[in-house]
Amino acid sequence: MSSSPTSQWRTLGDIGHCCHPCLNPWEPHGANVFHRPLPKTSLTSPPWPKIILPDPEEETQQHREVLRRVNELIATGQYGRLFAVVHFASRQWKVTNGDLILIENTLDAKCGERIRMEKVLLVGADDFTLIGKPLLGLDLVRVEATVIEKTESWPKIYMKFKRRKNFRRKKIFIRPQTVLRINTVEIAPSLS
Amino acid sequence: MVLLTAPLKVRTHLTDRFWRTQDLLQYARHFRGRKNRCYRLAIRAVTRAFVKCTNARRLKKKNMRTLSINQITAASQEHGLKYPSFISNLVKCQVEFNRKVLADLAIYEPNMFKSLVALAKRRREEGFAAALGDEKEPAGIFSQVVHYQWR
Repeated sequence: MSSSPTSQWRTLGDIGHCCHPCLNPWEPHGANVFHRPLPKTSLTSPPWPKIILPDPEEETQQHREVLRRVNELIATGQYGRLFAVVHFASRQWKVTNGDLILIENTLDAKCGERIRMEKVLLVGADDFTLIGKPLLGLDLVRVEATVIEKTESWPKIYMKFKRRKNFRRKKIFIRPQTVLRINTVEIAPSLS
Repeated sequence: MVLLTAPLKVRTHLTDRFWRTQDLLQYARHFRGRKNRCYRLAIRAVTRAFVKCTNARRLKKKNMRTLSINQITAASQEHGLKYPSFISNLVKCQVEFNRKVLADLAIYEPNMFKSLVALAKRRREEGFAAALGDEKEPAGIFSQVVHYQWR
């Protein structure tokens, strides 16, 4: 496999290499000067596993195939119940049709009003899921909810007490609450 | 008690002691022993109960977060990735789920969680490739950051 020693010297003469084979192949140039397979020691390869990323063209083809199938499924409507992860009232909720949500503050909407939740992070069905980076588009998902109830919480007690120091503080606080019922989670077939 | 004028107020004695004690004893009715009946013992027990309730509200959030993290760790270890690399690579892919939702997905949507772990693994490998190789190669597919006006 290797050419004669004189030709080796000619190709590498301008760099000015030494004639010993380098035992550290992690350097970008000059590794394995004599093109001979080195004996496998603890230092011939780096301690981390070698990373081989898949071929980009093959990958794009696979991705296109997956997109086509998912678009087909969505267009023909072959999904059952959909669930969504929604960011609402500074919390994330995993939500389907018919779920009840309790929110510990007031909303501007009146009882019985229909609300659309716009910050949708994820929509999933049995066979496929759509993950947003970080949010999904408004034309893609629609999550609707109705305000059912606007109440207050039970009286919660906030108490501090330090023994032998005559320190006792008591406060009763009542938080407003809103109950929402998730009516629908829908997808529109406009994936690209 | 209805005491509207000063002369009326001077000539009174405490009449609603029963209701004042009941206000406190109602909270002690499910306790064990004499502290559910005797006012002196009940004050101490009820105060301690209120203080524990207040502190537990802070600790509950902490414990729920720890529980979610442990559940996510277990699920990602099943698929061969550790929790810190899983979370950091997921965030680098612009997927912003909190731990509660990730734990729910790990429990109730195992296939979905598997694909999330695969995404994190791929982003991790691309990160390594970018760090080890020269900067001349373009960034991987999953490392590209999306900048768009969401609306």
